[in-house]
Amino acid sequence: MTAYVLRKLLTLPAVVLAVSVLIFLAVRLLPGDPARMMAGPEASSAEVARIHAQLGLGQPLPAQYLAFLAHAASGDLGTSIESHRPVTEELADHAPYTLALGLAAYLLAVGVGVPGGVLAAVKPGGAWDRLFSGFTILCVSLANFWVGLMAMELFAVRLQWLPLMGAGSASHLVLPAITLALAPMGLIGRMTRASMIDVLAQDYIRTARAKGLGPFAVNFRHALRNALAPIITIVGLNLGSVVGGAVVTESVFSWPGLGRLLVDAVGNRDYPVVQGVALAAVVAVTLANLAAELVIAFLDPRLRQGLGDGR
Amino acid sequence: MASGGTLMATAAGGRTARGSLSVMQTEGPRSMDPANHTATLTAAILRPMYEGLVRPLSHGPPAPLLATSWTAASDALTWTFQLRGGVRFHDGAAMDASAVASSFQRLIDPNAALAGAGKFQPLIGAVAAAGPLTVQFRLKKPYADFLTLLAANQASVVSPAAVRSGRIERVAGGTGPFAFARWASEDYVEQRRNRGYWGPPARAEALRWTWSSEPSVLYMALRTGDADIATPLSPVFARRTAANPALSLAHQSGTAFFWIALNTRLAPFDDVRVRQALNYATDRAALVAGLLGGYGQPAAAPLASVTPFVRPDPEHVRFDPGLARRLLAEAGHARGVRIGVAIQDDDELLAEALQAMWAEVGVDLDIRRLEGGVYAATAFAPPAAKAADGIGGVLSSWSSGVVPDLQLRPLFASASAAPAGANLGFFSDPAIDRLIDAAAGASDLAERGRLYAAAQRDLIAAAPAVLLYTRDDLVGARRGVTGVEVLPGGELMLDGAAAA
Repeated sequence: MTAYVLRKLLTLPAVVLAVSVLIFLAVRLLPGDPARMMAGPEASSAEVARIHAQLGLGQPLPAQYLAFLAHAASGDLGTSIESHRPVTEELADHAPYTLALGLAAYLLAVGVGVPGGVLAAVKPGGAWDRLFSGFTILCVSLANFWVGLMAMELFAVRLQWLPLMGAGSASHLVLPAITLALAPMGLIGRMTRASMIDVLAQDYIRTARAKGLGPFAVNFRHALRNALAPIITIVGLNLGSVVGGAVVTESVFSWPGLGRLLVDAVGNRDYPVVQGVALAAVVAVTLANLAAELVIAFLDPRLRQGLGDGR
Repeated sequence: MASGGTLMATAAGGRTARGSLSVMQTEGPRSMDPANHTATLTAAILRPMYEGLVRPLSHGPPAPLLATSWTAASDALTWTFQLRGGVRFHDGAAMDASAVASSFQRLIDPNAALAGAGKFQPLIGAVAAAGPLTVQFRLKKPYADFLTLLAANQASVVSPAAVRSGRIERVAGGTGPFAFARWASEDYVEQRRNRGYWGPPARAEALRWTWSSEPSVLYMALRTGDADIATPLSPVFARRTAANPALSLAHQSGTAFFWIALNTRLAPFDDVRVRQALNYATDRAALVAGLLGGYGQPAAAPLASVTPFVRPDPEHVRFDPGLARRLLAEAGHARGVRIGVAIQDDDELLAEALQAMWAEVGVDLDIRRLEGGVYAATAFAPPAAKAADGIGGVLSSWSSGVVPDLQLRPLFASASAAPAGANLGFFSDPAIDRLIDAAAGASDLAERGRLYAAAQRDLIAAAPAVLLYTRDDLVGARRGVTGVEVLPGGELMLDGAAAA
């Protein structure tokens, strides 16, 4: 197991490095001139040219990338064009909000999706299954900016149960977390149901039932454990979509996280901030996927063995 | 962290209402440095903390502020300002002639590369202290609207210590009735009443600024009380605000001028008849009614209706599709013509309305909808690039405040042809250039009026652009909020504002 974990960890820098090239290029290849965006419509072309030089945008791309990499390696992600603050400072300011929002949304998604899916699988076609399946379809198909706005109108404006927007207390977290949780909740719920239905049809479940085990022990201890691998994979993979969803959700709820920072930075062509946030997101998603793989390997000795043999 | 923007009604003292006032706008501040931005909504946030030599008024010429009086020498190049005594910056330092001089020297210093310097660098040659409370400006050319320029937020007097600290981008330092308290980026800006203010104290105890780019959120925030004031409202939510008994709507003619620069270097717009035809084919009243819910002014001149010296010409700026068809036929396009116009995402409905209107006279409008960055690059592209992409026009908006020279010069003077300036259609007419120059320098009001009238008449005839409309400034507030002043263009002035 240790060798497996180490090997997996070693691939991390390679992945991050490869993605950093993509991010760097994607940002540079965005059409539009950041110097012009910065200078504003009233600026003269001389002023635009000077800002261009100041940002080093005139340098060839490989030179710009190497400079970026060298600085990044020493923990310097550059300075925001818009706020003139170090990007690392911006990240440190906003990351806690996104972490809190993402974590809350994730707990909610797993906490509702997994038990809901298990119960739906116990009696396929039953009332709960039909209700839950309908709900999960809604979850994955509704656009979260729309859900967010409707939730604000209902719970903050009309019922006044929860604050409308901003951050500051736990109650501020409720609406954005629910909004962000819906899509992964739907996927996790559907995956849990499908995976459980497969497992529940297996012979050893019949054996367990024949032994006289109660429904809770059968469903949650025996079946769920064997159904977990695909669920955890979905949970891990979905972190990417949560990060993406956070961009929209944070903008709608004026939540001061990385998503809102990113939206503003893209609009202003604030290259250093866009790169910084994108890199942070990549590292987070890569780590989450790794964690998911490790958990699966831990749960399933066959997988651990196979990979450990160096296949 | 403070909780989200509910009104904190503190004990009232004195004769004025006290409490915190919260304001929501559609974008956050670009900077805490007034010299390093050009955004109206940033200016509104900075205005309570900074003061200039003169104060803008919603109507009429600027009033004294940090300067109590001023004189212009007979050559109109040397301006001398007497400063108010006993004024201190929030950091405690005295506001005097050397502070004012260094503030303006920094603004016009090309090495400082400040975003707000554009209007001032070409105009101000030198600034120097001529006494402890006397400042002298030497202009490069006579400029009749100099005082109006000095009322702009970019011309605020900044604390020398705040500049030296190197943190003025994040931490404001001025002399205003409110002092900087906190900027939690992507969240809010907080300002507290300046206890040492030289003038009548601000009515509100504190100002809290938040922002959301989602138009419906501004309206929801007004209803929940998260915002006492919200601006700019979109026409849809302005209508609902006006209909809501708990809210009130302030609306006035604005300065956001919409026009389509026509590429005068590219067929078919190298022919003045085609340019005129598009103007006649445009039903401006229908655009204002349909797209702005009536909250706008159909253009009748190349200046906004609130700009001094505007000379509306409804006889020549009118909807006449029959004349448009005749002009197109004369220009050899009786069987129709196809044109490409670059637009931003936000202007899609406007472009589609124009597409339908112009189709009536045989013009096939090819809408090139572009993302913000691409749009900026396309709009400011030089003639060759525009020709290669077939960009016949650029739909754009411009807010000049109330200085006619800041609209006519950047948009229509030969020297402002893109990429150097915002003359996006490369229009060039030496006679109009001379009128613009002469009007900018003319100190006699009647003479300026005559020159600007001539410039506008000639511009309407030469039709370098399709003139569309100006959008009204739409500010929503909760009932009981008083003393909110809105400058033409939508910038809020809140020193006299308070919640009920």
